[in-house]
This record gives sequence, C-alpha cells and structure tokens, in this order.
Amino acid sequence: MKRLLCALLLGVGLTQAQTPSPLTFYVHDTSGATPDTPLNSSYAFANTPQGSSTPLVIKAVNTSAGTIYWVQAFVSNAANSTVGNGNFSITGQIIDQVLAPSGSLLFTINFSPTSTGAITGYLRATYQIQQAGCSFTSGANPCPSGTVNASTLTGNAISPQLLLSYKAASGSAVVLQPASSTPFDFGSVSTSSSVTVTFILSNQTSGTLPTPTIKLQTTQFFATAFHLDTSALPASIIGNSSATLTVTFAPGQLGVTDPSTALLVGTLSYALKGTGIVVADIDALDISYTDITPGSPSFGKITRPQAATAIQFDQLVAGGGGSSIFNFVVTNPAISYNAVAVSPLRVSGAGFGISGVPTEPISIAPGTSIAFTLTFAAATSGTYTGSLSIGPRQFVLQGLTVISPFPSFSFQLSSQPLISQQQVNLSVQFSAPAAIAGTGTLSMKFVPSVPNVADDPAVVFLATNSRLLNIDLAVGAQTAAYKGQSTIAFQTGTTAGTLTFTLEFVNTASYSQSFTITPTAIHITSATAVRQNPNLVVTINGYDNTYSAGQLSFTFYDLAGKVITPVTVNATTSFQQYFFTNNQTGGAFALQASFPVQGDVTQVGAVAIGLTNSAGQTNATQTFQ
Amino acid sequence: MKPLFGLLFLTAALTAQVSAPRAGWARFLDGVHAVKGLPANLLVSDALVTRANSVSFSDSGGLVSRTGKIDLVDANAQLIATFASDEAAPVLNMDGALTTAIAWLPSSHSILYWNGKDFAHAEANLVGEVTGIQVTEPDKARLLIRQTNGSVAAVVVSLKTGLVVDSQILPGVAGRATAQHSFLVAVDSKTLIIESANGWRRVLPIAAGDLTIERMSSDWLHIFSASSGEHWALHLTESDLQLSQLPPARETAQ
Repeated sequence: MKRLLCALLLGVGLTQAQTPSPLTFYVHDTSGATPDTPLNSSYAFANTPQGSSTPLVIKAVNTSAGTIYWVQAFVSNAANSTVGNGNFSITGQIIDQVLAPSGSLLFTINFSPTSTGAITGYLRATYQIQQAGCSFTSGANPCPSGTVNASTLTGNAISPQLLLSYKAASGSAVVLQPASSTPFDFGSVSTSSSVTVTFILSNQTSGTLPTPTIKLQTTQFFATAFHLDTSALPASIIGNSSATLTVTFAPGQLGVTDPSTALLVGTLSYALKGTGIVVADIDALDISYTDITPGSPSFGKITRPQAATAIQFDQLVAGGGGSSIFNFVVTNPAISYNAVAVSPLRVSGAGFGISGVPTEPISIAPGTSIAFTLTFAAATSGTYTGSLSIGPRQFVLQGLTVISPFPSFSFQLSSQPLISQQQVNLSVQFSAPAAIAGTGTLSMKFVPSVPNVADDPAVVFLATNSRLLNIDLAVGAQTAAYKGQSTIAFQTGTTAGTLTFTLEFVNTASYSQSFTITPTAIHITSATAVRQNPNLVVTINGYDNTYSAGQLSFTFYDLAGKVITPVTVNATTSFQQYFFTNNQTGGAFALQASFPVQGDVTQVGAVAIGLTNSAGQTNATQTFQ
Repeated sequence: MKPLFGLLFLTAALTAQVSAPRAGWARFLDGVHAVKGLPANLLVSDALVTRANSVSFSDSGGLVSRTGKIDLVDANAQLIATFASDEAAPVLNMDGALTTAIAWLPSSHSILYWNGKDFAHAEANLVGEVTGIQVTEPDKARLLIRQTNGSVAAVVVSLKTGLVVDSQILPGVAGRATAQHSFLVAVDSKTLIIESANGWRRVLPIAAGDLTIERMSSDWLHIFSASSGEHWALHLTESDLQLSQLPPARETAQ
C-alpha cells in the first residue's frame, strides 16, 4: 500500500498525459476453452445474489516497449478514486511485480454485492514504467507512475438466497463476503489451545433450499490447523431460517496458517486465517513425525501435525501382522528461554502404542529434542481413534484396518523340490473365484547359501528377464495370469540357496513362500573327449551349485578298455578364480582340460571323469572322437 | 596302471581352463546379444553387440545381415568381411568353420558363400521358398525349399555352376525347414518338429504363426515369435535335445 501511495503521488500527471496505456486487459478463460477477449471499457456482471459472488478472471498484458512495475489493480468507487468498492474484491493478484514487455499476469475480480440493486465499480491499475535511467525503487530518480482506468464494472445485485454470517463478540451477526481479499481471521491462538467459531448459514428466501456442500480447502498432503464440523447442518434449510456449522482453529505449529485455506460453501469461497503463538513454554515445542512404515507410499515423509487434524496412520490389513510406525521428534527451539517439562507423554486408544519414551521426568532444554515412536496395529478391521498427549498439547490419532477384497491365495510349482538348472512354472491359485479384478505384484528373491556369494543372475522370471512382474486377477478367476498366461516360468539358476516368492495385492497382506535349492554334487550337462594330436582334450559343461569344485580325476582307457593311466588334477584355484572373480553365470561352468601326450593318441579310447565338490563326487565316462 | 609303451602323459603340462559356458548369439528386438549358460539356465547379456535383421552363428563365427549388407564375423563377433547384398531377407547359415558361411539371396536368386578368402557368388534358378541352406561339401550346398503345396524339397546345388545336382522331396516334412547337424527342424503354425536322419520324430510344444529359427552357435538354435515376443533356445546335438525358454534381452523386456 505504501508503494501504491507513492506511485499515486509521483504519477499524478502521467495518468492524464500518458496515452495509450502501457497495459492492455483481457477477459481470460482459465480452462483455455476460449481465447482471451479484450476487456471493454465497460463490463456487466451477471445478476448476482447478495452474499454470493461472481468471478471474472482478467489478464493484464504489458503492451509497451518498456518494463513495467505492476503495483496493483483495485476496484474503486469512482473513476478517479482510490477508495475501494466493497462490492468487489480482487483475489489471486501478485502485487509489486515486474512485467517485461509482453509480460502478463492474471487476477480475479469478484462481484460480491453486500446489498441489492445496481452497483458500479471502476477497475483501475497502478503501475510504474521504466524510462531513461529511472529507478523503480530509488526516491532520487523514480520511474514515472500512473493509474489506468481499465473498465467500468456494473452488476445487478439481486435478493440473497443463502448468507453466511457469524456472531461477533458484541452479539450482532456479521455477514461474510465470499471471495474476499481479506480472510476471516481467527486471531492469535496458543498451540495448546483452540478457538471455535460458529457460522450461520441463513436461507433468505421463503422456500426451502438444499444445503450446499461445505468443506475446507486446504493444501494437499499437509495437516491443517482448522477443523470443520457440519454435524449440525440439515440436508436442506427451510425458508427464512438458518443452520449452523463450526470451524475450530487449533494450531499445532507456530505462525500464520497457509493462505490458501478457505471455507467452501457450494461454489463460494471464504478465506480463513489464524496464527499459532506461544503463550506458555509448552507452546514453543516444535513437533514433527516421520513415517517409517515399511512399504508405505509415505515412507520417509515428515509431517508437522496440527491439533485440529488427526494424525492418520497408514492403512493396514486386518490381521496382516504389520504395523504403521511413526518416529516423533519434539524440539525445544534454541531461541526458547526455558527448558520445557513434558508431562505426561503418553498415548491412549486401542491399537496404538508408544515406545522409546525418555525416562521421566522429561525436560527438553532449549536447542535440544527428544524422540519416541508411535505404532498402530490391529487384528480386526475398523477405524481406530486414540490420542497423543505431549504435556497439555493433544493430538488425535487415527488408524484404519481393512479386510482383503481378494480370496486367500497360494503358489503352485510344476516341479518340487526345486533343483538347480531348472525352468519351472509357477501359478498363483486363489481359494475362491475373485469377486473383483485386481493387479498384484509378484517378486522373487534369491539368497545363496554359498558363503561369499551374493546372487545368481540366472534366477529370473523368463517372461521379463527380471525378478518382478505384475499379474492380473480377473473377476471370477481362481488363477492369476501374466499377459493371459496362468503359468509363470522362472529359472532356478545354478547356485544353492533359498528362493522366495512374494505376492502383493492392494489392501491385502503380502504372501511369501520360500523354496530351498540344496547343495549337490557337480552336475555334468554335456561332455566331449577329442583327440587333437598331440593332445587329448576333455570338455565339460555343467554346474557346481556349491562353488567348491576342486579335485578332478581322469582315468584314460585304451581301445581295448584297459586302464592306461589315471590323472588327478587339483583345479581348486582355477574354479575359485572363476567363481569368485566377476562371476556372471552363477555356478555354471565350462571346463576344458588338455592333456599333452607323447605317442599315438589314437590308442586312447575313453576317459572316466571324476569331479568332486563339497557335496560329493560326480562320475562320467566319455569316448574319444 | 602301467602306461602303455609309447604313450606317455605329460601331466605336468596339463592345462585346465574354467570359463562361462557359451550358448552363442541371439537376435532380439533391439539387436544381437551374447547368450551364456546351460540348457534351462540361460543368461542374455545386457550389452548390445550389433543391430541386425537376420543372423546365423556357429562356434567359429557368423553371418550378420543388416541394412543391405552381409557381414562375416569371427567367434568374437569381430568383422572379417562384408558383402553388399542389397538383400532385405537373406537366408543365412554358418554351422561350422568360416568356410561353412553361406547365404541364399532371394531377390537375385543366387547363393553367396565364403571360400576362405572372399565372398563368392553363384546364381541358381530354383522354384519355391528357400528356408534353409548349408554347405555339404566344399563345392556343394543343400537347400531346403518349401514348395507351393507345403512340402519340402532338399535340393543340392553346385557352387561352381549354380546347377542343381540332386533334388528330392522330403517325405512327411512340411513348413519352414532348416538343418541342424543330421537333424531336420521344421516349423509350421502349430508345432516344431525335429526329425533325425533315421526318420525318428519329436514334436515340441511351441505354437505360433510366425516362428523364426536362427542359429545361435554350432549346437544351439534360437527360435522366436515376433508377435508374442517369446523366445526359446534349442540345444540339439547328436546326443542331446533340450528346449529351454530364453529370457528376452533386458532392453526389450516388457
């Protein structure tokens, strides 16, 4: 406002002299359905009941070649006046804004008549314009300013239908104007206290009117310091009578509330405001909590609770065995004068628990904090309510448990027990036909039992080459499917360990089942024995799911089947280096043993192979080719 | 236990090498990837080797067709030679040494083969759809040709002259046929049939209207359906036949 007055004082002559205006005004459709249309020199609002409001969104564009300092727009009583007209308000306007050439801004004019009859207002806008070295902020060389008359606004206020009012301290009813640029102020309230205001919704007509939808407009994902109670409102209000609703301001945090907070009555908006203050030492405590519930979509989110809004725990599945867990931190700001005694610090209500509470008596010195944990868990479905007391500061707790909409389910495998180097089909069977369709997440986890082995990359679902996929359950089906296939193939890999499948459906306890792949002796998948004079080459493909292969034996036979010579090889180092250095194939291996021979290799007819690991020995015989 | 006279094992010089078992190279939607592992335990490398519209690999190397040219590569997929084929859908095969590299070029009705030094070319006037080709002798190729009535003919062609040396209808074989070792592998919209040289047949449970077979290595065939996105790997040697599902390359996994 100081800048407005300054601009008005400095720019008296410019208003008259400067033509055309550096600002052009348009009627703007925020939906984008229709293009902007120039705002004419006069604009007529639709007939609007007293106590109601009709909005008009305006776009102001800097159509000059110079930069403009937008001071503000206002609706005045007269064409040359700066006195505001109470039947109009301007909302959504960012004042004191620099507009480059072609720059624009939006604001809303609200026709909110306070009395019936024809009403006229004057849309005016005050600005400064940059010219030849002037300054928007310097008093020595200020930029010239001006006030442009954008349009003459007219409207016809008809008899009111519903009026919202409240009773002032004097006992008289004060009518609230919707879309007002001045919010209804609950005043300053201590964070351990609250103020409740009763609002009166009056039917000004002789007929019955349905009660409009009434709710609070708050910032999404943040707790609000306001609580609305419409329990006393009837579904309709008979003619010439009224009904009441209450709004309670109960701040849990210091400072002014979010400016976007409003009471919405049908299409009308009444801005609300309140300020949380410190009266007693306990009021200064800063309280916050972090959601650490495993798997919660809000995991890690920090919330600063308000006393007016219940602390809502994560929804759980009844009897699912899970808990919703919030870690609280209560801090006494460093700027506090005194240590704050917190007594009691407790939780009440079935399903809610508290742990990690410091030993009493609890005192929080300035600049320090305490921490504790709240949990919610319940065996039966329903809504649970409790309370948290941090000294005299009270917070409502709420928890919800639900029953799974899906029948119970289990896993079926096409082959059991699982062994390594297998491709197995898994199916998800439900105990009854599904009443609703759903999509679940099926995951697999593999934990090797081999020391110092973290994983086996071959353990995957074959359809996705990954360990995660979404499966669908159709209405009436008893088997879930992946892309229409009711069997889901996976590989078991070549490492001993435990394979765990987990299936999760929304609002359903996750289900897991583990299968053990036991350590076995080395498995030979294929082998060849080839004479490559002067060498005999034995190649073996297979797996060792213990990663402990070492001792190899080769017994060579002549063409008559007589033993020529046995050869033993300790290949521990070769296998260990292969298995534990950049292993990308699990326990699968290809072994090539080359035996230099002096003499005629064609005399050698076969070889008996023995491979040993920690689980035993494997033998095979191969004829030379 | 006594060593035979004149045959002495030099055990001190024995070498035992352990490595990852290689299944070969397979072409997916985004291109060619290395495949390692064993039957029923296959791993597809994330790394893309090259883009291609047709491939055939043996343990010694392979043929890769892409953008109108055919590359001859070694066992590590390194380029040896290139032929500008201007062919969109050649029928490729390499099932052994580099000199087994051979291709049927449908648009020019000719056979392209690697003679050990250069690509050589022979025109051949054949009727029907060539679905398989292999070098059977240094100067002869056998082509499997689907006739208009669905039957399959095995036609032997001289690589020097391009003339047909022998031709016979394969009794009971229908569809798109290719050779693997001594086996014949044929696919139609209902089944995958493997027929041995002595006439024994095995029918595998793969059904898709658009099955394609490409050789991954000397002992492995890659079978896939572009429409369903399903992949299989067939390990087929004289002593082993195992069909495994092949996981898709991660870049193309849905």
